[in-house]
Order: sequence, then structure tokens, then C-alpha cells
Amino acid sequence: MVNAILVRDNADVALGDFFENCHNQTKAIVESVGDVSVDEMESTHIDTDIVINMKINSLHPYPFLFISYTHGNETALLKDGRMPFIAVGQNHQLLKNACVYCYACKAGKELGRAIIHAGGKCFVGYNDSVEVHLRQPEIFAECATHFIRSFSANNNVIQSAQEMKAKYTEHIDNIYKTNALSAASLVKNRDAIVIHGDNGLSLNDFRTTPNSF
Amino acid sequence: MKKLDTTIVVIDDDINFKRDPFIVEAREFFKDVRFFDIPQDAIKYISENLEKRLIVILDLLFPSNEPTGNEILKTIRESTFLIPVIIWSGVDEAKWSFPDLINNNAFAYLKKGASSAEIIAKLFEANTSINNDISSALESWIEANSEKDREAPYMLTVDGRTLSLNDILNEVRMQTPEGIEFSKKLTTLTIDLLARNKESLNG
Amino acid sequence: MPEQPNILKFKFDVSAYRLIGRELITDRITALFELVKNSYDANAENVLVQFENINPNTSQSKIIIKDDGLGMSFEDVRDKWMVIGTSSKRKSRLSPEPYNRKVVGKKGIGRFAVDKLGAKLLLKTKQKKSDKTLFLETDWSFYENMETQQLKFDFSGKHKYFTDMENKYWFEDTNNDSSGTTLEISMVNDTWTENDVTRAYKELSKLVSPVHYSEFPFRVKLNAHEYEKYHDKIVTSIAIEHATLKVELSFDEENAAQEILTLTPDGDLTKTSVPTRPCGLVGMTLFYFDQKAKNAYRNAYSDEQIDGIRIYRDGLVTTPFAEYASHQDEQKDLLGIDKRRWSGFFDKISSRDLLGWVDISDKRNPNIIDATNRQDFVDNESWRELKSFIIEQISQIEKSLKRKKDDKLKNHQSSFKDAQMDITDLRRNLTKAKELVGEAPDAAKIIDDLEKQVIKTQVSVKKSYKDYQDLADEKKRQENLFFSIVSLQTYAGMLSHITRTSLGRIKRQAEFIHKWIPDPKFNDFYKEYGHGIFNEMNQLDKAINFLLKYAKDDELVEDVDVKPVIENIFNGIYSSEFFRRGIKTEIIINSDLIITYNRKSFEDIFDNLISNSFKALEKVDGDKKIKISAIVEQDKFIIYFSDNGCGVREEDKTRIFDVFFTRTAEQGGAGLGLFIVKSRIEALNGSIEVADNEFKPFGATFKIELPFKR
Repeated sequence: MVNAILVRDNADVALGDFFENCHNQTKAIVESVGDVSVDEMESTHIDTDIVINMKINSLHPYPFLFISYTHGNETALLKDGRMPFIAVGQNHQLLKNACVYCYACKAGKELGRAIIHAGGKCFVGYNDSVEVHLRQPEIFAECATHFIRSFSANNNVIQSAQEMKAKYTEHIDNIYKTNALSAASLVKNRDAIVIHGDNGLSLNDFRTTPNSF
Repeated sequence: MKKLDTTIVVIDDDINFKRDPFIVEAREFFKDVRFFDIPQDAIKYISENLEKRLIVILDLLFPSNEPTGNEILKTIRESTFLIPVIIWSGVDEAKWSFPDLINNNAFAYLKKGASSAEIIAKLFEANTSINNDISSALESWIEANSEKDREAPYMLTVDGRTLSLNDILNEVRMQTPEGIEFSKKLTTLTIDLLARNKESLNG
Repeated sequence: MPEQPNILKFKFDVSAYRLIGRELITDRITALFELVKNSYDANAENVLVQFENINPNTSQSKIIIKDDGLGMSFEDVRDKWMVIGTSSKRKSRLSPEPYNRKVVGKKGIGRFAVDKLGAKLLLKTKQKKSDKTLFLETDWSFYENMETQQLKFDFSGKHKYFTDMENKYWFEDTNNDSSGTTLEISMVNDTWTENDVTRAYKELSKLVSPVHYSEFPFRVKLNAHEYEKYHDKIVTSIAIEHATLKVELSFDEENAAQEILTLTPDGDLTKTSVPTRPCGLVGMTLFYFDQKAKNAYRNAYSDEQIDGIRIYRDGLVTTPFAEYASHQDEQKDLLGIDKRRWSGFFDKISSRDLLGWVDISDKRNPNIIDATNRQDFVDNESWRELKSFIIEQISQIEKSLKRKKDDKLKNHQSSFKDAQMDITDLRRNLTKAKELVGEAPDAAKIIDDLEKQVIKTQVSVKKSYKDYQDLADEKKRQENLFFSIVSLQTYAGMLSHITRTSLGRIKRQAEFIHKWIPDPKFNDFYKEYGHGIFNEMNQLDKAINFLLKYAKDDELVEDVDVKPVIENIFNGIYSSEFFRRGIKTEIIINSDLIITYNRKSFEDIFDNLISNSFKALEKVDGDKKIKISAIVEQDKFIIYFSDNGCGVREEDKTRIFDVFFTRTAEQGGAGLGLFIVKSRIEALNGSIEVADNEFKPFGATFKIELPFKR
């Protein structure tokens, strides 16, 4: 049994739809694994950190997956681009025991590190701004969700991260001739991917047995 | 020899220059050479033809009721930094405020007594600099899109602003930090492609 | 029966009269002038101008103008006083018998003059034959309220016009044979301080003739009880003291003899009797002030100005001199005194050096007629003769003064020379004495000392003389420096621009030919550039010559008589060229002007303008015209040069004077001509600009202004 918490800020004015798309793809991927129990959270749930605190606390002390598509900064994940709902010094230790993937600007810098320090198992994210080009959001969405796609196929963290990078590169090569700017942004996103924590873990490490109470 | 796809714009109040040898020669090497003795007309032409590759040759001294060369340069720079402007003057250079020219990004300085060869050489230099300037490349690429496409929202910035291609174009022309950032990104892309042998420098 | 046509009548708005009034009577003094003139025209012999309670002005303030003239009948009041008219024409030019005064007041102005002074008027008038005094009351303040109301309430309610206002009149019995008009003005507009009253007094004193006119006198009295100075003070001319020189010329009517000024062989002024001049017998009094005298005068009469000569007729100043001008500079030089100062700047008298009056009368000088515009006299033989006469007397004074100056100079020089000769003699004598004295030690020593002293003195004298000469030369050089040209900086700039531009072009043209010949593609260009090099060299040559000439400041300078020079250029030098090109010319130069300049340079100006016109006229079908006219305006001599050629474009109007600007390149224009013209004119401290073209629809007119004073 794998517990997964999926967060997306789908009400965001600019990127709501994009986050929703990523979320849907991710949900479909993890549900296809079979024994993944998904707990979804959207914009209304992350107004404050109350709900999320509750949800995550209920999973303790077991490991889980945490996947989010929101805005962020170096030290926090943000709702609406400004309200932290997971933040260093606030509740980052909640993600102890988790495998975390954050598609959010710069979260890879401080937040990622802090989570590992507080006991998180692994973290994959971006240490720079991530850009989305509204002309071809599918490309960006596909790249953004590729870590989970790969991880769900039983590749370990580092392998999954590589595959995501390769997916980025694939798209870069496809579009740079006709859409150099988009390609340039993909380059930027790809080169910002970071891993913290144990990069050899895989999906199995996050399975709990039914009777491990 | 094929003519370079660049238009030279000459701005000088002395209408005798219209028939000057250097203009005749320049026409052999460049697609088009335009002469304007009234600065306003030149500025209008430039603003309506930003899509073309342009190089400007600008006289400094105009009659008292016209804008000065410096002011004309400034006006051009209000639209774009991507057009090289060569200052051409018969006045003693010591007198003119060079800081103004530099701040407004004059590309080069030529004396009125220059030979045609010297002038054409400077034009080639300016043309090459456009070639090498990735911002110009970016400008060209954006301009290749249709007007409708250019107006549509294209991408989001980190702080949530939506930019259209025209917005980006403007940032690039004005060489704002954002505009420069775009050019940098392009450069990074280029390097990435070259490193993976997707492109070669001789392309 | 024919239908009554629909008609509308014009009505007169309240604000309209104020507008007219403001235009016609610009200040209080002018207002007083007009009212006093009206009294003069009404044959008054006495006019009283009275100020009551005017400082500060309150509801009790009054200004009263009372005369003993003919007075007005009811019809006069109804049909003249109450009719707003601004025409200066009158039915008769003379006042009624037996005075026959030439009327001076403007018709229809009285009301506005009154309005300028105060808002309420009580007019009292009586004619000799009448046994009643007519009273009329007008209250402008009522009109003012009307105006304000109309502004506030727009078109609502009763819209009253100026012409609807009702003014009361009534009669009172007065059984005597007095006559006259009294204007009692209340609700006075301004406070009249002592200074204001003094100013009014001074100006009125200029109105009244200083010559005592016995037959039909005209006396003005000023009363302002609040001020000690003005208790029944008769307005008379200010006593002229401090003058350097006073000249009084009179005439003998019986013997038809006129006094004029002549010079004795020694250069002194003396009077001679000659027969009557064509202008008629004339009396003249002149006061000349040199610098020292001017200072003294200014100290004594702080506000007063020495402002030239006025002409008085039959007790009152003539109208061209009667307008009160608040600015001395606006006083026109009707007699042409200042105009002559173009030549001999330092030797001629200006109107600022002279005070005086010329006395004429309608009887003796009937052909001196005021022009209808009231600003001048009718230009006829009499007037020209009168001007000549006046200038002649002034010239005599100038000659006399110059003579004295030259004599003094000669005296200096000769006394220097004498001094030197004396000293040389002395030294010779001393040397002789030394020989005679021989070895006597005491005597020898004394002579030695003497000799040393003499030598010292000789050296000082020589040095003083040299200094003196240097000073004289310096003055001459300063005079020449008036012709200073362009500043050095501009000169350098011009040189740089001209040479670099020209040389650059020549270089590139030669380079092109050298590089591309014999490629047939550019055949047309080889020819074009070949010519181009040749022409460019020529232009460069001309330009450099011009600059070089310009840089020299020791050009030959002389008196240039403008009119004949221009006439010579048009009728002499260029006449055949005009004929060949079919150009008709017109020259209208009525005034003359003598300038001190280099003749060739002055002719250059017209050479270039004509050359410019030739190019402009080339393509004209039909009549080709060039016209030059000149007028004198205040202290400027203005020349208009026009042709009916292709004209000057609006955007080029200032550029055409720039060096190397040309729109006639095809015709060989190099852009130098007008630049040269402008430079030369500016060297005379004048100016040139493109004016509205005289010839319609196409043409160009250049307006050249040359000032009198430098």
C-alpha cells in the first residue's frame, strides 16, 4: 500500500489550469500502479496549513509520497504565489519519511534541503525558476510529470530524475527550430533539477504492509 | 557578390549628400540606401521599418530649429537599441558631448572627410555586429511570427506576469534586464545544442 | 401694397464701448489731453483742470475740467456728445471765427476720455446766446453693473443694451452771457498722488505753446488743493536752464524776412536775415546740451527728458507731436534728426541732445497740414522745406561745434609742437651757455641741473604727445571695431564645417572615379563627379576667400549713400542683365540713409539677393518682377527686397541663411549667397528675415533692418 498526497493550486489565476493538468496526469499514473491510495488537495485545502498538517499527520509514522504542482520560493511552497503552506521553520518537518517531488520555483534550494535534514527520505525539485510557455503547455506538463511517470514504473529516484531530464531534452530538440524561446525555457527548467537525500530509493521503499500497525 | 539584406538610412540636412559617392557605392553592397534631410521623416521611416535590418548614419549638426543629432539618436533609442547608429560629423569632435553619444549607444564615429572606403568598411562592421548579436537574432525570430500570434499570451514570468511575444520583443529591443535575460537563455540553448552536437557552428 | 420687409437692427453691447475706450484712450494723461484739446477746439481761452479730494480716491473725489469756450447747445449734446463715433474726420478743420484754430481734438473721444478718469459725469454747458444752462448726467458705474449682471445671468431676464440706458438731462436758468462747458467727473477711477498730478502738469506743459501768443491766448490752469505746489498753478513750459547753447530765431512779417543761423569765418554762430522760405515764416528756439549739460539738466529735473523739437501752431502743439507717448523711444523722429547720424556718428547731434520748439501758425504756414493719421504731416513741398530749414539750423550748430573741437585739437597739437620747440630752443641755449661759462664750477653745475630738468621735461612732453596721439588712434580703431564680425568661435566652426564637408566630398568624388572607372555602369557618375569636383573646388575657394576677408578688420570704411548705391546697382550694373532675362524692376526709396561701411561689402548684399532672385525667377512664366523698397520706422531703416519667383518653403525660412544650405543645387547654387548676405547685414548690427511675400501668389520677400544707433 502506498500512500500518496497530491497537491495542486488549481485556482491559481495564471497556472491553475496547468497545475490541474499536471495533477490529473500524475493521478492517472499513480492510480494505474494499483495499490496507491491517493489523497488529493487543491487550492481550497491549502489556504492555511491546517488541512495539510492534519492529512499528513494521519499518515505518520509511515512513509508516503508527496507530489505538488504549485508556486514556490526557496524556502516554501506557496498558494497563489504568496501564501506558504509548507515552509521551512513552519511545518517542513511534516515531510519526514516522505519521497517528495515539487514542481515549484526554487523549492529545491532551501526547502528541499531542510526536508531531508528533518528526516525526509528524498527530494526532487528545482533550484531555479521554472517557466511555462502557454503556447505548448502539454510539453511542459509532460516534462513536469515525467519523474512520477518513471518512478511509478519502478525506477529509482536517480533514474527517474535522469529520465525526466531526457524527456526535457527530447522536447528541446523537437522544438528549438520553430520555437527557440520555448526550447530555451525547457533548457532552463531541465538544468535546474536537483535531488536531495537518498537517490537510490524506489517505489517499494514506500510501501507499507497492511498489518504494520 | 550578393547584396547584404540590410538597409542603410542616412540622415543629413545637407541635401547634396544625396548624390554623394559613398551612397552610390553603398548601394552596390547593401539592399537599399535611404537618404533623409528631414530628421522627422527619417524617424518615421525607422519606426515603421523596425523589422528590417537597419543601420543608420547620422549627422550631428542640424539647423537651429531642428533637433540635434544627439536628440535624434535618443529618439531612435526610445524604440530600439538594436540598430547600430554611426555618427558622422564635420564638427570638431572635442566640442561634442561624448558621454551623451556613448550613453545613447552610438556605434561608431566617422568624420565628414572620410573616404567612401572608410565609410563602407564601418557599415560592414555594423552589419556584422547585428549578425553576432543574439538579441538581433531573437528579434528576427519573433518578428517572423504573425502579428496575431505576437499579441497572444506567450509565457509567464516568475512573478506571474503574462508576456506576449511583442512584450518580449520590446524588452529585447530596449535591452531591459528581462530582455537581456531572454538573450542569455537563447545563448544557453545554443551552447546546449552545440555541446550535444545538435548544431554546429558552420550551420 | 408691397410687403414690409423683415428687418433687424444692430444693437450695441455694454462691453463694446469699454473695448473701444481702452483702445482709444490708453491712460489718464491722454484722457486729460483729449479733454483739454476739446476745450481748445471750442475756442476756450482759459481751461481749469481741478482735482478735489483725490488722495485717496473716495466717493468725494472729483476731477473738474472747466473752460470758457463756446459751450454746446442741446442739439450739440444730443447729436454730438451722445453719439459714439471714432472717426477722426471733422466737418471743418478750423474752429469757428474769429479764432480759426486748427482743430486738434479727436472727434467722438470725449466720452471715452471721461470714462478713463471716472465713472460718473455731470456735464454743464451754456452757450453765450442762451439763458439756460444744460445739465446732463451719465453714470458709467450703472453700465458696469449692467455688464456684470449680464455676465452673471447670461440671457435670462431683460437684456439691456448700452443704447437702452437712460441719461437724465435738465435745464436751469442762467441769465448772463457767459459760455463754456464744465465736466464734473466723480467716482474717480484712480488715486491721483502728487506724482501723478506732477506728471499731468509736465505733460500739459508740453501741450501748451511756450511762445506767448497774444491775440487768442490759450491758458491752462491746474488746481489741486491737497498739494501745496498746485494752487491755481498756470501751466507753462519749464524754464530751460543748463543748456550749453541757446538759439532764438524769429521773423519779420512786415518785411517778409526770416532769421537763420550762419557761421562766421571763425566758426562762431551768428544770425542772418534772409527772405521768407517756401514753408512760410517760422520762429524757432533751440537748446543744445552737451554731455556735461545733460547731466546737470538731469540732476535738476530728475524725471525730464531731453527729447527733441516740437512744432507748435497757434498756441497749441501740433497733433503729430501731441500724442502722449509714455516711452521716449516711441516718439517718432518726424524731423529726421536722428536719421542723419549714420554718417559721422560722433559729430552729429541727436534728438537727445536738443530741446526746442518751432512756432508756426495757420496764417503764416497754411501748407503745413497734419496728416489724417495724426502721426505725421502731409508730405508736400512746404513740409519738406520746413524740415530742411530745421535740419539746416541744427547742421550749423554741428559745424560750429566741430570747428571748435578741431580748433581745440589743433591748439593742443600746436601747443605740443610749440612746447617741443621751446624746449629744443632751451636746450640749445643751455649748451651755448655751458660753453660760455667755461670752467666756473658753480655756474656749470647750475646749468647742468637745468639741463637735466629740461631733458626730463622734454621726455614727458614727448610722451604726453605720443599718448595723446595713441588715444586719438585708439578712438579711430574703436570706431572700426564697430564693424566687428563673427566671433572667433563661430568663425572656427564655420571654417571647420566648410572645409571638412567640401574636402570630404571632393575626396570621395575623386576616389569613386579612381576606383570604378572604366566600368560603364557608372558612366553618368564619372561625368557628374568630375563636374562636382570642379564646382566644389570653386565653392571652397569662394568660401575661404570670404572667410579670410571677413577676418580682416581694417577694411576701407567710408560714407555710403544707400539710395544712389542701390539705384546704381539696379539701373546701372544689372540693367542689361534684367533686360536679358525679362525682369521688371521697381525701386521705391523715398528716405535716404547714409551708412558708414565698406561700399563693396554693402553692394555684395544686393549682388547676392539679386543672384538668388535670378534663380528663383528662372522657371516663372509671365511677368518676372524684382522690387526693392525702403522705409524709415522709428530708429530703423527697413529695406524690403521682393521677387515673384518660386518663393521660400515654410520649413526653410530660417535654414536658407545657413552656410551650405541650398535648394538650387541644380542651378549651381552652393548655399553661400544668403549666408554671406546675413553675415554682412549682421556686421551692421542689422537683421534679415523672410517676410510675407509681397507678390501673390508666389514670391519671396526679404526684410532687412538696419538700425541707426550702434
